[in-house]
Amino acid sequence: MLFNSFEFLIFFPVVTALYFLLPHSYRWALLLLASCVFYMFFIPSYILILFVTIIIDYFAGKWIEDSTGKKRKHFLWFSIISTCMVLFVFKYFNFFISNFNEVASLIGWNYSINALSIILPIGLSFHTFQSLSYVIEVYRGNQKAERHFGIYSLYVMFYPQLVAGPIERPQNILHQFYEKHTVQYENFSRGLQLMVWGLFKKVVIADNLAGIVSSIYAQPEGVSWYWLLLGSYFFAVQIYCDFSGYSDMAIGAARVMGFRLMENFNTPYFSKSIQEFWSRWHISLSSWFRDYVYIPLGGNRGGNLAKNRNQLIVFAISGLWHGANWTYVVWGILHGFYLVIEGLLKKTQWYISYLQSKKWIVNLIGMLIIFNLVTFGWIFFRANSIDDAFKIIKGIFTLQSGKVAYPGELGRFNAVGMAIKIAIAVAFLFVDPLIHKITRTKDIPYLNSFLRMCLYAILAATIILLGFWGDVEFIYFQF
Amino acid sequence: MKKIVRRLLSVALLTVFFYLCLAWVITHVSLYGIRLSVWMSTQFQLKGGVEYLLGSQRENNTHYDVVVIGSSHAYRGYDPREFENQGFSMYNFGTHLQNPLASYLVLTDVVHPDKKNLVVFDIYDDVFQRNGIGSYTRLIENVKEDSTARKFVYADPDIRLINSYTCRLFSKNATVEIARDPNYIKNGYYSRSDTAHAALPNKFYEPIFIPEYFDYVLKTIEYCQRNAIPIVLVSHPQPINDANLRFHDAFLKEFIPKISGTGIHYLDYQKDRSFKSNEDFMDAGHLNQTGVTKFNKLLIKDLLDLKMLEVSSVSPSDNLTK
Repeated sequence: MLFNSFEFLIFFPVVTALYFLLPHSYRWALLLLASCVFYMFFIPSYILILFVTIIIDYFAGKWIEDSTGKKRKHFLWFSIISTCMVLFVFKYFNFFISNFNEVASLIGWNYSINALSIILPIGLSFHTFQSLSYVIEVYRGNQKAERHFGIYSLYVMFYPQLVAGPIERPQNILHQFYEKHTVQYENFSRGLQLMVWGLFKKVVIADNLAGIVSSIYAQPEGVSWYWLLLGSYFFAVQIYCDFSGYSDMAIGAARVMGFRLMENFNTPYFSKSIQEFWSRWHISLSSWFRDYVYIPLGGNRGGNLAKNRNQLIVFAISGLWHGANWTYVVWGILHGFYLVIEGLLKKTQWYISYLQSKKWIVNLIGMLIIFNLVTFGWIFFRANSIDDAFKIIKGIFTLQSGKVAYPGELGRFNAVGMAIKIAIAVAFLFVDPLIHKITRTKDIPYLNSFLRMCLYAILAATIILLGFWGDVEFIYFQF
Repeated sequence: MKKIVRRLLSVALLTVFFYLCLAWVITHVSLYGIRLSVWMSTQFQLKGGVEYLLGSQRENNTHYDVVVIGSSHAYRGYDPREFENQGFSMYNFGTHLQNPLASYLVLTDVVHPDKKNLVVFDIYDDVFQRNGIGSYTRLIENVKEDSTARKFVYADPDIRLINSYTCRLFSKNATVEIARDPNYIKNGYYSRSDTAHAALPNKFYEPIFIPEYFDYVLKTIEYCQRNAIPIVLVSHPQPINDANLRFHDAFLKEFIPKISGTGIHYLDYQKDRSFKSNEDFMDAGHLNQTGVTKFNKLLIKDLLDLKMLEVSSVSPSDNLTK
């Protein structure tokens, strides 16, 4: 079920009302049932895959806690390997096979393995990582093993964050399923505000740009450089609005029922450094990789060489996490290199002065540079292949002139239409921090409750009237 | 709890207010002769084009021997001049992606009751699997009567149709925004003389037909039978390739059993091999003028053979809209 669907418009109030009407002891069962229904709207049978990982990690957690010595480690590795195996089969097997077949044909080995005809279960990478964080935390002794199978299942399946995060930690969310939540105005108000803002970002901004981006990226050689450049900037806005919009809706939907999920985005395009960008973009994933991959690899210890190596490994894996395609791996490695270079710059006095500077012009230039570096990375992320990504980059830097005046869906627009789209995208980037603050801060002196209501009513009216109501899934669902 | 309900109601009322304000603004502000609504969202349609022509037809009380309904295959595939040459007046009510639901509403609400001597219902298999929203929003923007526009909203309740209808109400006096198409000939017919030289797509996709559309074909037939209006179903020629043939076979497998009990003629020219993709088509699915002339001659002959058309006692020149 999509958050921006008619079904969810019915599902959400019904589940929320039932949640508060039911006695506390039955609420977990209601949420679990609702989560199953929510997930089964995609491909119903795939819920069995989810149950496999739930069963493995539920028992692994118990066994880890109940055993001592080396056995604990064995159970941990059993859990990690079997959970990752599910991910590998459904997400990476065909990628692995196609690369294997290509290498085999290159070395003249006349042998090929057939790819599997399977569809990737929605949000598989998200709930796999959430499961793994549970067993790792139990192993580390930071979290007690959950003995209630239903509550543990709910930890993995809680519908607001089931298919696209935020990837929660057991310490943050598990105990909340035992707490008795009551109807609270503050939770309702904050939650619904977040949901409205998230929906606005998704259907008004992201989805209205999606068609233009697709038209441009479908024919990188046929369009002029300015379209390629515009398509890349539009994609930067689209992916941010799409994913942060989903996160806001997830956090908001949970908040209405009294649950607090972790923040996933914090106006990342206003970062002055790549490191700062990664502390504000997809925070739950960045911190997951930091805690469970980067630090175990050695983190900052072992000198600069080891640190740089670890960063590159983490970002290469992070790229692969996003999708079974070399475009994602290159995108990840590129960000790894950005960080390595930034690490070297941090040894210079001028860069330290730059990071500490409070001058607005310095900050503005810094943000623009980071935004452009990140947008450059998005070209690899969005392109249909590595080859296409290089064609786009070449097209932009050689000021390519294309044969198509207005490619694909752009045929409907002339310069006036595009100017309006650009104005909306730019205006959004500047309004975003303000609304981000409003949706998270209780008291803003210049915004009384009536003005606040007007603001959200305007957003809701814009969503209804100018939202894109076709079939556009959330980009991160595929991961 | 009371506070929550009170606030929710307040926000809901404010949302309605701002929705109407916003709709008013985007339909009253124009840039370069086109309303802001059209610039801002693909769900809003330009005023004008083939649907606008159709929209003004109900007031026109001219009698036609033949009316054609259907998708772009209709308005690009049935030439009134060919019918005139044979002594029959004809008007083409085809519109973009007009699916059977839209065809039913066009026939029952847009075509003047006195105009229906013979209805030629063009059956294009691909529209049976297409979402009709794009087609309905164009019609909502352009049909003459609000009541007809409302029927499109009721027929397939969707937020985009409600938005289109709201904006229609706010911009009734908007000027036509589409320049006259140089390919327009007359009586709803558009012609192209160029030929598809590029390789036509030949990839088969398993079709997923929308069952409701089959029901609307039956409803259209019932409507005609109830009002004693002769109706014939026609599929016009398509480029012959493996994908098209497989697709059409899959369509016929579902379609034929549905219409078999109606006693209506279905003239299927889709597999006619005398139509060549490099001579008779302007693209992957539409006939060019050469193809239309060839097809219409064939169709009129078959209609005469079936006695669906009889040589008119009235001179067509008395009837036709110039």
